[in-house]
Amino acid sequence: MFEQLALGFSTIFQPDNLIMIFLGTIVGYFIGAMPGLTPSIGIALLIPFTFTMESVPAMVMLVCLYIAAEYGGGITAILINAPGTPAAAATALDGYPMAKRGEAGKALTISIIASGWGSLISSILLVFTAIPIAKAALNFGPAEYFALAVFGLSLITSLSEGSLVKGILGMCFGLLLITIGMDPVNGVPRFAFTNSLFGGVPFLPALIGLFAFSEVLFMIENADDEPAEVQKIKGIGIPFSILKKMKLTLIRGPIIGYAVGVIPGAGATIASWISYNEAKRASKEPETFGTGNPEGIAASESANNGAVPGALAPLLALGIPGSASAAILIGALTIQGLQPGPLLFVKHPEIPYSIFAALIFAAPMMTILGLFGARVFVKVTLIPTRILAVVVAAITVLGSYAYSNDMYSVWVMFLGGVVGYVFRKVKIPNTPVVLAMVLGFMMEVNLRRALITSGGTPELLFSRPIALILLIVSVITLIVPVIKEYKTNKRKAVA
Amino acid sequence: MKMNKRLILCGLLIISMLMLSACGASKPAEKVYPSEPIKIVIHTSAGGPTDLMGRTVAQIMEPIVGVSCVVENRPGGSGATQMAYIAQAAPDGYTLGCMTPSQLGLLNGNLKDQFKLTDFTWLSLGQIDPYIVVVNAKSQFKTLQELVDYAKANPGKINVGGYGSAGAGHNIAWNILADKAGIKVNWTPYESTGDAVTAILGNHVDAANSNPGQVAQFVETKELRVLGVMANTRLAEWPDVPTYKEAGFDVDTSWAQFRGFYGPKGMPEDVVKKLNEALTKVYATDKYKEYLSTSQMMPGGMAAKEYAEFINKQDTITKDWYKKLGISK
Repeated sequence: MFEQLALGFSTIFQPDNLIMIFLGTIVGYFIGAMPGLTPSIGIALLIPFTFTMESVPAMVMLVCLYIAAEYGGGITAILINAPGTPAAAATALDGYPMAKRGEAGKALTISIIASGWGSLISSILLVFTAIPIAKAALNFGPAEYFALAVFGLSLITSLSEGSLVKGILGMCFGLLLITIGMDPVNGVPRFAFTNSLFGGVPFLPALIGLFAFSEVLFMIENADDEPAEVQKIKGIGIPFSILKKMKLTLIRGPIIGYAVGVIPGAGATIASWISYNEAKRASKEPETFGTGNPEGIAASESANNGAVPGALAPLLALGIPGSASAAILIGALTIQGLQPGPLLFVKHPEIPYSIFAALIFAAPMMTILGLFGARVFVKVTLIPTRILAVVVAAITVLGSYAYSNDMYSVWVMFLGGVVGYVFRKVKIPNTPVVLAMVLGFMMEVNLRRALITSGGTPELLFSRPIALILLIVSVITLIVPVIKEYKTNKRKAVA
Repeated sequence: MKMNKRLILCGLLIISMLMLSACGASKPAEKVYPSEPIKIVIHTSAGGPTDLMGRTVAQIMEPIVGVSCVVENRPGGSGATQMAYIAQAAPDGYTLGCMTPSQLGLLNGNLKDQFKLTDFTWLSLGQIDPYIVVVNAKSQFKTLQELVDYAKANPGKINVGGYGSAGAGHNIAWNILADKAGIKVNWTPYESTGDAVTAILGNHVDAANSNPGQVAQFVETKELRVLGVMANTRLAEWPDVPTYKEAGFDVDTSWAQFRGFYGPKGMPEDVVKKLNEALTKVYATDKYKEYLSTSQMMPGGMAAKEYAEFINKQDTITKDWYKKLGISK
């Protein structure tokens, strides 16, 4: 293995491969930072260029684009509350409040370091465990996926700041949205009164609306506010003392990211929420999460970048995509005349090993580029609110249009923005809405699959150990905060 | 910097839009066809099997027709975006679309009110990707007959996975077999053929309806076993795998996953003829044959007239099954 890894490194240090790693990273940054362009769209956009390339440079470029895009999403999430990728939504929770306080530089620095660190640790895990863990992931059947989705939804108790009831209200709204579109089992349309709704409510435009466009409306309200004074980034800009405080989160994040990434279908978005929630739960001051706690950024970013190598494990070991982006990478491999699958390691070991090497090498390079970038990007927060509102509005329109090249997505985005604005006014948090939209489909389709395979009885859900454990953990996650709240209320009442 | 990036992006977008509109404005010249670049529009994003066919054909066809062949991806609405685009394109032979049974499904489903079969010119069949039934290597079923016997003895016990809900291509293929064999199973839908393969690898379903290219490697590593092929002849790569007919189920094999080319209605006859000549030459090249064999597809090679009949036949089967499955009245 080490011999082959060394060979991988010597391959990627050839000039043409180095250029491709660099190019992939830069393009990935921009793709990620642009709301509406996801890593998978970015990979699909670049595939035609790989047509005439050799297979190794083509693959390392696409993989570096993938991992850099997952970081890039955090940049706009922090600066303008517009998550560039769905997985960066959790980053916005603490990143944007920090930027508003004038700490955008610190937030960006922490996010890039957490991203780079997450990529590095997860890549190393990938090198050693790709084959066994990918095989283990095959044990995830309908029951396990359903339980995982339920677990994800149970996180709202701790993610919805403020009232739990309002959080659940938001979640139910998100779940309602998910029922729109083609029924995944019987193929009949549900609540789809126009053709465009057959495919359901497009997630990314809705997300851009809920977060970014609703923010534009708030910006208009507060157009006369002066932007906060921006704190300068000092020295090389790495705040070691802050990082030291969150070392547990930095260890947990990449591992959560990798593990969730490996499971086909679950990906960076779910990983970042779980990691964020775990960090909040373990924290001594959970109430600061959501108000600009750098640890929240680190938790989200280290996990969503950690999910990328995770998603590559089933792809390289079995030819099974762990995410939408990985599915497109399979296409890229096929175009190169390579058959992704269990024989890739045997027939073309140069491909997986140069990808491993590129991932390990790209992590520090990405971090250095990002640290430089942070100094430049911070300037965005100097733009007066009334001008920024216009710019962000334009970006949200452009981003949602780019998502599927039609105006329909733009209307969905506007509508999402208005809904998000109203929700925020009445203090219903947006996070549960997004979480429900991420997990709702997975939950529904797998519950129904589980019911079909067990002949209509819910027995399958309780007879499989992983599923059962996840369900029990979700119940605990759901109930404990409620009891805690009840107890404090009682104590308050007594006092 | 950030602002500049956005400005540049906007600028690029505007320029590309202008270029696009410029493409649309150019009148079909009264020159001999083809004298302009031919655009092949794909209904999926880059990297999928249909995209791969479009790109392979475009690459081989370029030197044959002497003009450049450009591939463009217009994903969305399981093909609806591309279909609307093709329907609106000028019928001059410079805009073609790749197609699969998805487009026929749309004509009977989502786009039923917008388009009819006669709104398009059906040009050529590029390949057939036969349906197969596959089980995990550890499965107790060694032959199709054993699977059917068990399903007969235990109705509603067997779970069969595949891409799509009731009425999707894979589901109809399975139903054609199940109908002939007189069995009832639970159809478990997955979001893609790949997802269904993952499920059979993890033993979450008893059998799966799939395509050869999707499972070839797992057959080679002895993790999956193919029980039968829905085709008239055995596959060259798997001489031991019987057809459904040989396995004892004489089904109509005209239902297949296929990929071909189509265009807007009203394309001039000589243009259709020239395109067919060029495509026939493409299908005969070693490069195309090599692509078919690496991706485990069967050659299509039907020209316009035959293809239109083929499409009509597929459409009838789709309509029949939509009725039988209660999707349409």
